Amino acid sequence: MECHLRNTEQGKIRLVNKIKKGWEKVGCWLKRHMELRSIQMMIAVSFTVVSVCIMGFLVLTLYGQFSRRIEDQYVENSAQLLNQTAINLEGHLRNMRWISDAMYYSVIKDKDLAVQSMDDEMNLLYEANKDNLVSIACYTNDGNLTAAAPIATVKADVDVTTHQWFQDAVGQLENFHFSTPHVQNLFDDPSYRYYWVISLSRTVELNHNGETSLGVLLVDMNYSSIERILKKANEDASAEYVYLMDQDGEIIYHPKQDQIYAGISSENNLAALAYEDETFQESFEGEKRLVTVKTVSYTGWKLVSVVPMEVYSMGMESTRYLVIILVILALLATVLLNQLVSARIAKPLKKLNASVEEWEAGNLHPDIYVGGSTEVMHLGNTLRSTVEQIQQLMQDIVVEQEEKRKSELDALQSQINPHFLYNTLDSIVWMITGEKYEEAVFMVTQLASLFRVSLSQGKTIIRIEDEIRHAQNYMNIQKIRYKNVFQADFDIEPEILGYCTVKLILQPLLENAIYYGMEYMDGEGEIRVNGYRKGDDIFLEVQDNGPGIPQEEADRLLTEGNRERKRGSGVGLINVHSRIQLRFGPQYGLQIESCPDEGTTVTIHIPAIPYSEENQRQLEEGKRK
Amino acid sequence: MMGKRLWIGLIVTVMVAILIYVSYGMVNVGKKETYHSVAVVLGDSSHDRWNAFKEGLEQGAEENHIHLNVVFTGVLQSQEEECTAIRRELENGAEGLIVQVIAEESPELFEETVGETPTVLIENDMGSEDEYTTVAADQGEIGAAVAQSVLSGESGDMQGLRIGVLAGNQSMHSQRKCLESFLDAIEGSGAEIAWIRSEEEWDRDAAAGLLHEDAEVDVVVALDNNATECAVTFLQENSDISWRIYGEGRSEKAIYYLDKGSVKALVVPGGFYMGYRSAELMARKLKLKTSGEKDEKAETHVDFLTVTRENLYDKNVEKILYPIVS
Repeated sequence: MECHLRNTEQGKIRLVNKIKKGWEKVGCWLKRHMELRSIQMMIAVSFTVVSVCIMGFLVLTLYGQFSRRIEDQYVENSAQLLNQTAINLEGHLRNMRWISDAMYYSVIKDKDLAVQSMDDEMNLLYEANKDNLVSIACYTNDGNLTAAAPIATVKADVDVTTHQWFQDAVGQLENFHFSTPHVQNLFDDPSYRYYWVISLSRTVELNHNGETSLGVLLVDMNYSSIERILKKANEDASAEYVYLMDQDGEIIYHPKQDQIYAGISSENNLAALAYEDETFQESFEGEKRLVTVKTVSYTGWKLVSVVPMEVYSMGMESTRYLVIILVILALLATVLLNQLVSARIAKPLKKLNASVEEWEAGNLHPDIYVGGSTEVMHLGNTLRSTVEQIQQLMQDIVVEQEEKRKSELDALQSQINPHFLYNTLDSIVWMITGEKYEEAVFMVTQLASLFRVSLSQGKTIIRIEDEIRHAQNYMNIQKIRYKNVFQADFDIEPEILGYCTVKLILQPLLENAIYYGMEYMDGEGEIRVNGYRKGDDIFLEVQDNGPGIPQEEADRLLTEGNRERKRGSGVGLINVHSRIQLRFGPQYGLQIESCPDEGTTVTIHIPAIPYSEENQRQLEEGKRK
Repeated sequence: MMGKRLWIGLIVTVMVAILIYVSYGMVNVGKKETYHSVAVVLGDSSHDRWNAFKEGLEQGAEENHIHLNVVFTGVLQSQEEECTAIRRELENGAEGLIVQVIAEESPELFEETVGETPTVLIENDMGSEDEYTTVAADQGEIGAAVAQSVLSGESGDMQGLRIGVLAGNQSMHSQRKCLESFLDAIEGSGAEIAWIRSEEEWDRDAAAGLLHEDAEVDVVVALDNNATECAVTFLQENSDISWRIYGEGRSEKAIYYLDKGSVKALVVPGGFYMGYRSAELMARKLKLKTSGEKDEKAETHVDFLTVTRENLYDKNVEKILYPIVS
C-alpha cells in the first residue's frame, strides 16, 4: 500500500515537472517568436488585446440581448398564434354548441314526439351547417334513435348506450360533452366511407304525450373542420407546431398524428397536461423546447404550441454568421489599424534609435532624425543639439590640443641648439682673435641671416626660398666650423621657391646629416639638398654619403617611440615629420632611405601651395590642409 | 522584423480564411434542400387500399425532401407492363423507385429496367437472392395470423370444417410463402382444405361460371386484399352462399364488410408505416448514391393487426385502420 502511495506521489511529481517543462518550452517558443520588446509590437499587441476584449464583451452582450429578444419574440408569436387558434377553435365549438342549443331549445323542447316529428327542423339545421357536421341525431335514454339528419340507415347491432359519448351525456346531465376524435359508428354507408368525428353530446328532455323522458342529443362534428383550424396554425414550414389534446391528455389533433398512431413519432402530451396556461421550457427526447399551453374554454381541451430551441438557433444562424463576419472584419481592421498606428508611433522612435545606434557605433557626425510626433521631434532636436554641442566641444578640444601641440613643436623648433650657438660664437671669437675679420664678418652675417629666417616675424609658414636660405646660412656656418670637411650643394628648382613650407624643417635634417654622416669623412663628405616639384607635390631631399644605417632602423626613426635625442639641434626628425603632418595632413611628412656605407636620403614631402598671405594665414590657422 | 511580419501575415491569413468560410456558410443559410424525384409504381394505384400507404409515403417524403410521383396505373397484368411504366418514369427523370412488384416472371427484365437506380420494393420482395431493399409485412406471419384468426373465429371447432383458400397471386414467392404458412398453421386442426385457388384461377373460373361448384365450403380464406374483395363480392352476389370469410386486406370495402359481419376477421398490415418507412429508406439510398457509397440491402418488416368486428372501433385499431387522410 505504502509503495503504491509512493509511486502515485512520484507520478504526480513527474507530471508536474512535465507540465512545468512544457510551459517553459511554450514560454521560450513564444519569447523566440513573439518579440514583444519592440515598441511597435507592444503597442500593436496591447491595442489589439484591449480591442478584442472590448469587442468580445460587446459582441457577447449584444448577441445575448439579441438572442433573448428573439426568444421573447418567438414566445410572443407563439402565444399570439395560440390565442388566435384558440379563438377560432372556441368560435367553432361555440357554433356547435349553438346548433345543439338550437336543436334542443327550438325544436326538441317544443315537440311532442308522440305526434310530431323533428326531422324537418333537424334536416334544416343540418343542411345549414353541413360543412362542419357529419350528422345530428337524437336518441332516447335506452339508445333508440328518435331522429337523425341526414337520413341514413342505422347500422344493425349498434348499441349506442355502450358508446362513450352516450355514457358521458347520461353521466353528467347538465353539460355538453365533447368526445375525442373517433370514427363514427352509427349509420351504414354503402359507399364504404368512414367519418372521423368529434361528438358533442348532451342530455335532453323528450316529450311524449306530456310525459318527459331523458334522451341524448348528438351532434357529430366533422373532424376535418377542427383539423382545418389547426392546420392553419401549422402552416409555417418551420419546426414550430401546435397540437390539441383533451383534458385527459389524449391527442385530438397533431400535425404528426398518423405518425404518432403508427409509433413513428411521439409527443410529450402527458407532461404538457400538467402545465398551466403559460410558457415552459422542457426537454423531450433530448430536444430542448419551449412549450406554451392555452386551455380552450368550456371543453377543457388544451392547445399546445411547441417551439424547439433549434428553431431559434436556425433563425439566429444567419445573424450568428453576420456577427462572426463583422467581428472578423473588425478584428482585421483593428489588427491592420493597430499596425499602422503603432508603426506611425514607433517609426520616428526607431529612426531616432537608429541615429543613436549610429552615433554609438562611432560615427561622430550622425544624422540625427528629427520628425514624428511633437514629443519625438523634441527628443530628436534635443539629441541633435546635444550631439552638435558634443561635436563642437570635441572639435574645440582637438583644436586646442592641436594648437597646444603646434605651439610645443614650434617652441621646440625655435630653440637653437645652445652648443651650435656657443660653438659658432666661439669660432667667431677665434676668427677675430686670429684677425680673420672677413671670415668673422661672413660668419656673423650668416648667423644673423639664420636668426632672421628663424624668427620670420613669428610665422610658421614661410616661402621655400627663405627656408633654403636658412639652410644655406646654417651650412655656411657649419662648413666654417667643420673646416670644410664636407661639401654642401643645393640644387633647387627655381619654380618651387615661391611655395609654402613649414619653417625650419631642413636645418634639423642637415644637422643630422652633419653629425651622423660627415663627422669622420675627412673632406670627402658630401651633402646635397635637392628641391623639385612633382605633380602637385614638392619634394626637398637631403642626401649625404655618410655611413648610413640599415633601412629598418631608418624606418623606426619616424615613430614616436624611437624618438631619441643624442646630438644635433635636439629637435629630431620626428618633430619635423609631425610638424609637416600637422600643417599639411597625414599624407605628407618625411621619408628616409638609408643603406649602410652608402649614405642616407631624407625626403621632405609637402604639397605645392603657392605662398600668399591668404594661404599663409590659412595654413597657420590650420584651416587648409 | 521578418518574424513579426510573418505573425501578422499568419493572423490575417487565418482571419481571411475564417471570413471566407463563414461567408460561404452565410450564403448557404436558408438554402433549400435539394429535392429528389421518386416514382412510385403500384398495381392499381388509385385503389383505396393504398390510402394509408400513400399518406405515410407523403409524410415521409415531405420530411425527407422527396418529390413523389405516384404513377397512375390500372391493374398491372404482367411484369413487362410494370417495367414499361418504370422505364417511362426513369426516362422522365425519376432518381429513385418505390415499386410494388406484381410478378416474378422475369426478374432479369426488372433488374435490367431498374439498373443502378435506387429502388425500394414494397409489399413483396423478389426472393431471397435479390439485392433490393424491401418494406413489407412478413407474408409467412400473415399466413399464420390468418390461420390463427380462423382458429379463433371458429372457436377451435375445426373438425370437419371445409376451407376454401383464395391464395392470391401465386406467381409471387411471398404469396406462396403466405399460403404455405397458412396451410402449416391450419394443418392438424381437423379442418379440410377443400380447394385452393390462385388469383389467376379464380378469375378464369369466375369467367367460366365454375365457382358455384366450390361454394360448398364453410370458410373461405383470402390471402390478399384482392382475394378478400373477390370473396366478399361473390358472397354478396350469391345470397344462397353462407361463407365465413377470413382474409388479409385493408381496403375500405374489406373493412366495410368486416363491419357488416361478412368478413369475420381481417389481418391488416400497417400501410402508413410501410409508406413512411419506404420514403425514409429511399432518402437514405439517394443520399448514399449522391455521396458515392453503396447502400446495403435492408428488409423492414411491417407490423400488422388482426381486426374483428368486436375490436373494429377500438381506439387503437381505428387509428390504424382509418387513416386521417387530408
